[in-house]
Amino acid sequence: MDTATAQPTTRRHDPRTLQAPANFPIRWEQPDDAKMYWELDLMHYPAPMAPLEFSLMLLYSHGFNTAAEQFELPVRMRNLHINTYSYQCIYPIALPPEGVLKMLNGIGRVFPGFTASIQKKAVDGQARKYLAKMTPFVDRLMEIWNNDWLPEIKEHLAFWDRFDLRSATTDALLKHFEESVQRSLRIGDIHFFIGIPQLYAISRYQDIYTDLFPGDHPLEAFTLLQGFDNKTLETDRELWRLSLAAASVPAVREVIVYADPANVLSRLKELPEAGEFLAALEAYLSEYGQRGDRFSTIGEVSWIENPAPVLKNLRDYLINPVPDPAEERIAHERARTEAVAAARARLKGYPKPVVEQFETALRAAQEGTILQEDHGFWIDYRCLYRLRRVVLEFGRRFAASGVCERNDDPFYLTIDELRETAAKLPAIDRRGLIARRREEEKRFASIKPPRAVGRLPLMPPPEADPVARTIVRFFGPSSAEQKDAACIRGTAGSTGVFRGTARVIRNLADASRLAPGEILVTETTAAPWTPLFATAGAVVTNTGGVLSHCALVAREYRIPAVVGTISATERIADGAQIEVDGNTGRVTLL
Amino acid sequence: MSRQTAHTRILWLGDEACGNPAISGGKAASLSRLASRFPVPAGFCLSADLLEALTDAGVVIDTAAELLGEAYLELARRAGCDDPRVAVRSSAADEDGLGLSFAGQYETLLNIGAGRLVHAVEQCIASGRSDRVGAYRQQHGRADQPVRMAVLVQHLVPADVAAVAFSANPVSGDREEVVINASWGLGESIVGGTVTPDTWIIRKADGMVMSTMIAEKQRMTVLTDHGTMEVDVPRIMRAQPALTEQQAAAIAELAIQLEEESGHAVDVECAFADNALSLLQCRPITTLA
Repeated sequence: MDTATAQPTTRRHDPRTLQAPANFPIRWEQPDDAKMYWELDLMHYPAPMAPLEFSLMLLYSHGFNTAAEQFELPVRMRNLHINTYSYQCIYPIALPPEGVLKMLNGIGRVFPGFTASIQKKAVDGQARKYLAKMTPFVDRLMEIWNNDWLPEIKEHLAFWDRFDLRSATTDALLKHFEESVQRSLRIGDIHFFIGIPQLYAISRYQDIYTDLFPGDHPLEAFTLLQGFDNKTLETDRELWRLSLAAASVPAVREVIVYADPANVLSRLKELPEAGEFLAALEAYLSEYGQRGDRFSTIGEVSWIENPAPVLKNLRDYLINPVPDPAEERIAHERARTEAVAAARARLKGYPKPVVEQFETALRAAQEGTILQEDHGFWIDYRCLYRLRRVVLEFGRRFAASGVCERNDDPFYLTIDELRETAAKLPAIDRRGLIARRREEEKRFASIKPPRAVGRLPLMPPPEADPVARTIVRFFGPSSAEQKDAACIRGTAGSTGVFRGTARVIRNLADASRLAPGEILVTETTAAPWTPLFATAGAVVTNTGGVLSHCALVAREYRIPAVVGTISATERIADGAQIEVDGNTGRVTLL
Repeated sequence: MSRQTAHTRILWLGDEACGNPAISGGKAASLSRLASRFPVPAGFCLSADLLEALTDAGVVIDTAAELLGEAYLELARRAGCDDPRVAVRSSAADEDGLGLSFAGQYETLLNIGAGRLVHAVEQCIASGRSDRVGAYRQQHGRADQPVRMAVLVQHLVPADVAAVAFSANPVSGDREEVVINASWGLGESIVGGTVTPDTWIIRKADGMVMSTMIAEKQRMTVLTDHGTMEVDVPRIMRAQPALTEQQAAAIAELAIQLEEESGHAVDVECAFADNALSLLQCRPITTLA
């Protein structure tokens, strides 16, 4: 037997290199990037992003690294815009040389305990160091937010509000843009100064709760965090109040319920008796409407620009009145108070340092739960909305000069192209370039981007590392084992079991198809989606973990949720009958 | 009862008669002698003679239950709380003596409330007759002597951290240093060997901390409604030192003073509750080279 000729003559393919599909060719700008592991951030950006939106988002995500540096975390983050999608890589900064890792992996195959114990020792030592840095922030979250960060955010907001976009010269507008960029960098830092400790606070508490009460359902831990007011609940509650205003004027109610959604606003404006309601709607939108579909308000049409999502929810409330959310919250608060008292009673005979650690962790997690929503309201929505308005003002001027067609065209430019176009207005015609990029976005919007590209890491993020664990609990798993054709496994996000009709919803505009009592099945949800939770029967998402926004809000609304299924939107047909089991994290096709 | 002698009345820790091991047993006698100068939790002792008078075939008779109830109220007064939980321990005449430790051979019932006191005392008496103790006695050539067992009832320390301290290094035999083992919760997990405690080595001469080994403390004994149970320590606290440096220093000081008091190297069980140190047990180190 000639074994020599059996050897392949070409170099063997690296099994860790991920093959991108043919319709998703990747051109790596920096060759080394191909060696890293890039995951699609479907939770935040499930759809293509325009170039400028991506660049401006980088100002924010840069804050992750500022915060990681400050807290001495062993990880950093990078984002790449690949074929219009946002990929992110969270990578360790101090990894042993690849040779050592390979050796450890090899030993691990034979003696898994050995490699695991070496890894745990290294991880524990590292975690002790960074937790010493970060814990003082974690334990004073709300105080720091109220005393330092929120006042600073308000100062930044005031900066934007002081500036008169319409009457400024284009030079002044450019200067204003540059300062907006600088301020956004700082706001991005604040975003992660709060975001990382806030998520860790909840994750740390979850660990302590499950360690102390190992017999409890893991989600019981969250009962002790619920029923606090936050800006998301306030937004939903005010919308509910607005529905009462609409219900009190029969003609207004009539239009909202029966008119074609696209015409509701114009029809209302024709109604003499709608004046008071329209004023209330406008007040609502100016306070709460500085948000679009998802997490980023830069590239998304805000509720102020198009209030369709608000009108859809008003319609739902009018058709299917729900109880006063304020009262719901109070009931929820009562449940929390009882659960906290019960936990304290169970810990009565425990060492006081253990009880104190539990109390500290609980309080920080409660504050973290509030801040998860409130930081979004102030930073992700309000600040980014103002950045969007600056870009739209360029768009208005560009369109007026004929160098582009629509107000939102500048989103299809890079930051430098925007600067250049504005500085030389109207010399540079961008219409062709923008059309090409819009075309490209359309093409990639219709395909399914690979979940991950680049090269698989040698070692997965260590489970023993508290921050790695936090990140996984937030983003959810990157894969889910699916064995059974009739059953979709995900992460239990909010308890309860609900059977009903599935509505596979792609975006908020599409959400008008979700009737009250139906099950919301979607890629991800962000704060602007939460009014839907008031009328939905249950929610299922592809992305996210137990700490994701979706799971958190589902618990506040006490509807069952299964998150992080990876593929629910593909496997569940629109209109199908399904059972959502939020206790076990399973969705069954009936 | 005609006349109450030292043998047939309830003896309080700190009473002179309670310090006599022939009457109150080794453990109670040793704690009683230390009670005036060291932070020994309040407690009383039922001597072997008294137990004989109070029981019938190991069962506490009705009038004795009344007596116990009164003693419990007095304990509550001394402890300064309404419904103190107590530890009920055997205190045999030859236990905790200089020759043999009998450590862990007798029953200890922890976290007993007023309602279960009588039953706990009965269980404790029964343990003195158990095979386990008999075998130990036989093994150590004491089988011929009758068991003279008293029962000690002591205010329970709801320990945040428990420690065992040695006034000489029990491993190396070094008499110039104090070795402390400490862990979260009650001392049962350390004594029972279910947890690897933190180890502190402190030089006697100047109190200098020579070394600390902070262990991954997985288990702890906590109080339940009617007793104790061993549970997992939350992961985040496992590698945290159970003692502060000041606490470790206080324990070392206690061990040194007890050694001076006793005239020989000692093995000390103690605990912090609300940062107040209590002395739970003090025995000679029997194994020291």
